[in-house]
Amino acid sequence: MSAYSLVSSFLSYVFTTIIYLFIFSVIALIYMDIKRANRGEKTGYDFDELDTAEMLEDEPVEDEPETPKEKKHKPSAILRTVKSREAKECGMKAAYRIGEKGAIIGRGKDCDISIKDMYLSVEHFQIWHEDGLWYIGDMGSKNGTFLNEVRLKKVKTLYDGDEISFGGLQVIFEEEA
Amino acid sequence: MEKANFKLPAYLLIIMNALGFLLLFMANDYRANVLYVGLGLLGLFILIYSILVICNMGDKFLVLIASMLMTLGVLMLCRLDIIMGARQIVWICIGGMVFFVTYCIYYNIRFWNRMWFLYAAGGIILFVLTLVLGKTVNGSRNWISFGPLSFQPSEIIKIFYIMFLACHYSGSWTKPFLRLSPTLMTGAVTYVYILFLVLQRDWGTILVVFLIFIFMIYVYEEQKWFLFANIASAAVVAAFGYLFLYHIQVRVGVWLDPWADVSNKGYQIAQSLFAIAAGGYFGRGLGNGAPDYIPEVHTDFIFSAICEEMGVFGGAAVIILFFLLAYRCFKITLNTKNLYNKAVGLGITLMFALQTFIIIGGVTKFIPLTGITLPFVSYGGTSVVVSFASLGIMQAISALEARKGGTERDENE
Amino acid sequence: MKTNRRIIRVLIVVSALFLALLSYLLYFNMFEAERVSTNPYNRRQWDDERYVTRGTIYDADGLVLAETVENESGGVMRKYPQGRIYSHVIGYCSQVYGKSLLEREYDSELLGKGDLDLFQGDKKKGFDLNLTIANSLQKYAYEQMRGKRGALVAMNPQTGKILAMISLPDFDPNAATLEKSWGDIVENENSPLIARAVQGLYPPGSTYKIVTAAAAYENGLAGTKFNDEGKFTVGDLTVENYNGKKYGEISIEKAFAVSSNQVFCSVGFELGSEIIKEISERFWIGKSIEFDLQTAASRIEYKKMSDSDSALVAIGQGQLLTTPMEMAVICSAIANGGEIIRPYLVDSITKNETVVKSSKEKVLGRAISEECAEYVKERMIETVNEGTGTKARISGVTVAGKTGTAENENEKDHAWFVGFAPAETPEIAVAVILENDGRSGGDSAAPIARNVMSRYLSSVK
Repeated sequence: MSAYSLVSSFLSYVFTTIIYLFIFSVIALIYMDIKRANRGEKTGYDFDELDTAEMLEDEPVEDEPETPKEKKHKPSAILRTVKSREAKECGMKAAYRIGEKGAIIGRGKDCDISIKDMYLSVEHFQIWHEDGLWYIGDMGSKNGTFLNEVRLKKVKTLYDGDEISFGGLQVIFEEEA
Repeated sequence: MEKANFKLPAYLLIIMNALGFLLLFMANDYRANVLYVGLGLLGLFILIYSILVICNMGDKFLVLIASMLMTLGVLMLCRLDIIMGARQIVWICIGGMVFFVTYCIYYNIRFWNRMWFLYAAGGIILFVLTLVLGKTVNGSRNWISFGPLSFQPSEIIKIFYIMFLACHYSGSWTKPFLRLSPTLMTGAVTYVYILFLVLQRDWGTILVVFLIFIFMIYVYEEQKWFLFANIASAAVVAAFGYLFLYHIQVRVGVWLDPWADVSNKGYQIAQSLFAIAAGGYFGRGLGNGAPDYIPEVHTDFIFSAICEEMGVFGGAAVIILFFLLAYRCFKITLNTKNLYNKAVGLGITLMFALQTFIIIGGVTKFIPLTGITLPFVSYGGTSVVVSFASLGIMQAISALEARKGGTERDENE
Repeated sequence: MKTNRRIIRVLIVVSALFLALLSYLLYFNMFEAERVSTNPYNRRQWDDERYVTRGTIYDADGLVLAETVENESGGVMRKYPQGRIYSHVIGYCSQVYGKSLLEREYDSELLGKGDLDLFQGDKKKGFDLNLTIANSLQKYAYEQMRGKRGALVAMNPQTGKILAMISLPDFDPNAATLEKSWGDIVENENSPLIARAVQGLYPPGSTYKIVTAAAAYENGLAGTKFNDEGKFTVGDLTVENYNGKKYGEISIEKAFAVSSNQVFCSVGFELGSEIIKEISERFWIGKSIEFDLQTAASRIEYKKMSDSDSALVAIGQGQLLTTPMEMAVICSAIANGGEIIRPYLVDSITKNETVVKSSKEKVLGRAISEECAEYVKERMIETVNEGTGTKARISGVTVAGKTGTAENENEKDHAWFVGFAPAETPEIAVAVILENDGRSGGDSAAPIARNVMSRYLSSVK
């Protein structure tokens, strides 16, 4: 056995290791890419279009009934779910109505809006109404609440069309006139 | 943070190249030329990849995976014959340029979907040229030479064919030609191509072309009878081929029992199996084996050589890499909204996947052996350049989708 | 989108194809690679030989049995100075037809694989093998068997050392002759390539009464008297005694010595299939014997064995098949007090006369108790002294043995003899079979066994 063939046989193990590390790192990247795309982040073309398409077909949008006119004087708002695989998986409704008392959103059963998603804290964030304005505040959640892609550090005012993300989920805040 | 992670596979690629060429350096009596060759290749990869990232040209995985495949191929080729390896690197260099050129052309031209006639005619002209000027290599008459340069038109024809199919299946070509509806016309052109390929005895390409056709029909054709009719006719033709064409009988016979005539008809496949069996799980080590016992080891049988010296795990890695490449291509195809690009993307994806399956399946005796190159790995200018061109198109499709969301082009149609 | 859904299906098909390819590659490497790489057309097998001189094989006294020599043109050649005598022990080593037996089983040792000595010049030498066989006895046994078809196995019943091993017909293993006559050898209807001693499967006939006698003893049948009318009948099965003899009232001990089929069929029938099967397993039927060469596994082929089947198995007929090696091992078990001893052929592996690895005696298991072995031994001594095995008597030495004449469908009987000597402190156990000899084991096989034992004992003294 010459020195070269000894080195070469040894390197064959090294090569195998490197190639598989390479494969795993590529798989990890691809996986991350898909996950990101599924969460609806704007990462370019790699949005998993199919799932959304399927959802649109399979699940007719079940909007909450439009606000009856006689209740118009009371403030209320709607959280409209952005469709995604995660939203489908944890059984989110197409939209949630929030009355003047506001709402606590979280994984816990006692929350006003309870969503069974593993990335949510028991009480994740809350929305409430005060003096004609809507506010949002994080309730010390583990994974944070994002308002228009910015992590909430203190209470912020909510405006119509704001995008709220939490866990892998997204909702659009819509104020009802 | 997530961007930083892309560095890991890139580093691994660099380490792989560095170690590989150091080993070859040792094997070649420490001649510095080997190191230059290695540095050249590595520089090339880094250059291509950097341009890709800096210019934000869409998908980053395709080139990364292809680079790893090329590394494995070049290491093997350099080990077989350092001159051949160096030549392959020159081809990769040309291929890289072709990649960017194809990318730019495909990216900027928007009337690809209107030129079905050109593709069909181009293919047929190339076929006729091959028949007239071609020379026979290993029983297949599929080479054309111009002075010292020779190329395999069938490789280029595959791209034409895919673009031709896409014209019809994207719905861009609806007017009948000579009273033949596009559907029938597509079928007719396919069978004309196959007839030419039969004349050239290029069975591998026949299989690739026909399977692409069948899958395209499956995806796009609403009328199921057309799919079944094609499969049925293929079965009939295959049965006739088996009954009357000696070549096919031999291939099937050798596949069923290569040991019956090891010294003659079964020689190639037996040598390939010996090589794979010799490798074990981790291989005998680069330079320790005897892959040169296999005829055509640098082109069709490069996979067996990889199995012998890098082991079954090395071989499995090649298969996985090709699968990842195909998977990425599928992903791009799925995300593309422009119908023509989608069809072209699907065609190219299928070409990569099927070609890999057919040749690796062939050399391992999983399916009957039909000679065809392993994209990016096999030695050969045409193969490398065409693979790069296909990759360029794929890259352009992904970039178009990323930047414009495909909408602009949709409106043009 | 419909298109996308279909494309996903195509993706699934492609994934399945790739997965199949991957699985096949792993399958090939796990289950087929070894068979493929030993194909004689694989030139790789000879690559090592270019850098390594294949090791030499010696007999117990250091006589060369196989060596690699260089010919005039610088190529190498495997030479077998003893010619055919070892063709079914050492086998052959041909660049065209591959390797067999010891040459194959010990290929990596003969090529010195695992020898990490990096500094020994251009051409290194593989390891040498030293066999347990002494050429003098092997040659003598070969002469005794000359012209016959069959096998002979002689071993030391205490240690398991093989002393002689003959299988006939044989062939000339020297590459040049082998390659020239390969066609004839392969097409020969007597299959000269089969190493009958370890791979030939035969009905053991009456020699198997040794096992039945042990079962009888264990189940308290010792001393029982039977009425022998020359014929055993149960259901539609009828077995006659050899030459149709009737012994009348007879003890089981006497019945062993005269080899009464009627009595032993009755014993087998009475004990039943479970007991016969169980004791057979203890004697290593159904398992292949651990050996330096590949051995065929002796076996009882019944899927479901009835008691009338066990009557047949008790006299070594029916669907019972054993190798000569197995019979030698059973015989050794009686000789050594009931233990199944592992036979071995390669005594040590050496390099430049330093031992790299040496074989050790190994007991594979206990078949029967010492008392039981003693009981059967007594029966075997009686057989040689006053029963069917008188032609195995050696003056001045007590010999124990058992004859057998195994019936065959449509062909002449096989003649068997198994025995050992000296009965008091056994030094050699022998099993002899003569295929389709037609004569009884006592007439034809016993003298050969006697000669071999006697020769061995006189050479030791």
